[in-house]
Amino acid sequence: MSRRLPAFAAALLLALGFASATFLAVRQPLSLGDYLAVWGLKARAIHGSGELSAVFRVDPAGEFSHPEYPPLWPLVLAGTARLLGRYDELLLTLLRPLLLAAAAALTFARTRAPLPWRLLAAASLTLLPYFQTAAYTGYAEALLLVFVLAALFLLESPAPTPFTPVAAGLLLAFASLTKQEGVLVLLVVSGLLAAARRFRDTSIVAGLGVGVGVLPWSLYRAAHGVSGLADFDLDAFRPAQPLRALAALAEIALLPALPWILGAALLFALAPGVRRARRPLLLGAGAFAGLILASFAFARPDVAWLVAWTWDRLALFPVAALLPALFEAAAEPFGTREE
Amino acid sequence: MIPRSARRLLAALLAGAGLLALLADAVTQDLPAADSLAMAGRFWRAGPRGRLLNAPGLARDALFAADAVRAAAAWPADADAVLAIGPLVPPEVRERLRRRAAYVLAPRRVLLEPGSGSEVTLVRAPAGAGQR
Repeated sequence: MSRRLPAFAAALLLALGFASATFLAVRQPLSLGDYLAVWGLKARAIHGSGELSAVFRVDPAGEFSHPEYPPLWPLVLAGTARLLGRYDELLLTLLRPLLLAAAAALTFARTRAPLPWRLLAAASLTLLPYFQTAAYTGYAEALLLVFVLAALFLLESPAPTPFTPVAAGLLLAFASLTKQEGVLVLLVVSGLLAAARRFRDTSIVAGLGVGVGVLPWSLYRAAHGVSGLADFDLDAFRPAQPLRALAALAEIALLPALPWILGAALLFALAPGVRRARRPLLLGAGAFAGLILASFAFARPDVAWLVAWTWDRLALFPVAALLPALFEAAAEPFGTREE
Repeated sequence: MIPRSARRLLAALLAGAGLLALLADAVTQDLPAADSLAMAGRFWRAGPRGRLLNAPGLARDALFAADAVRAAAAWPADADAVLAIGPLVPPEVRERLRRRAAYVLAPRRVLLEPGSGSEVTLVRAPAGAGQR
């Protein structure tokens, strides 16, 4: 019984996190923030017209709906509504627990440690503030996260098959079709595969990601007169802006984030084996954060405003990706980590 | 070299503290549990129209949203809408109403026009209006 107790407690925590996040998501219809202005608007446009091009029509001047954003999440919402027989914002909230369960299962699967630690890693994902915030229920990040975690799961596999890079490339193509951050993940993953001299994997992953994800949507929106990004532009380049973004981030988040950063650093410091084994993941998370920071050099709106409205959603990806490594690091001193 | 027992203790403390902090945030929700449950019950019992008009993102402008819902049910999907808003309506309200109208009336276009005073009217656009 005593050996089963930690696993039971971890499973209970996972159930609590999942129940709390699910209840927050499904207790009211989707209607808040960017769901209404961006994702839901486009989903209703697709559902009502049966045409993808309707996403450009509903906000003809492109003033608030970010017509350049990739269309997969609105397509998923509209497709689900079609299956349900009507566009019902309350029934669509049920997508959130499905995506959360998938993300938690992938976190469990990616964690190379004994059962209680794997369950704790999955539990911590469900307890992340992003999933405990009702306002984010209709946003695209949960779908993007599932694609990214699934791709990482495949690429981290100790026994890859010839099909592994194909599946990972397709998943990262879907990630790129979900949100622009998916393109950054594709870039980082391709760079790390190339640095590891996995050139075949690099060409397959990058080729599929660009060919199936980035390129088709870029061509489609260009054909509809939508080019460039609303919030970013080459002409807006100001090299000092990443520093301003960093200052804004420090002002908003440094104090609450400091214990987490120090705690994570200490866990990794205590686990040299995990540091070695997870070096590509740590580099990837750092590279993703660096690219996001660098992108602020091209920001059109006030960078402090942009950071304030996006930082927690952007932080979700590196944090969620690193959770397995963190719990492997916590498990390592117990000498039971599975290599 | 830190003894293995100390490393174990530190790792357990760090992981435990982190999980407890996350759990504490999760149980401290934005509404008391009873209110939250009542809210969920009301929405799941309501019909689609009631759900939409009382949804947190629309409830603040429920009368306006109700007009938009009626228009969405009555107008053809390819008809544009004209939203006239007067100069006395604060800019943030103007933008909020515009977004709500666009959402409820999608896939139709909602064309903004200047109104007079504190006017807020939503009408069907004449055929060919706002062609680009």
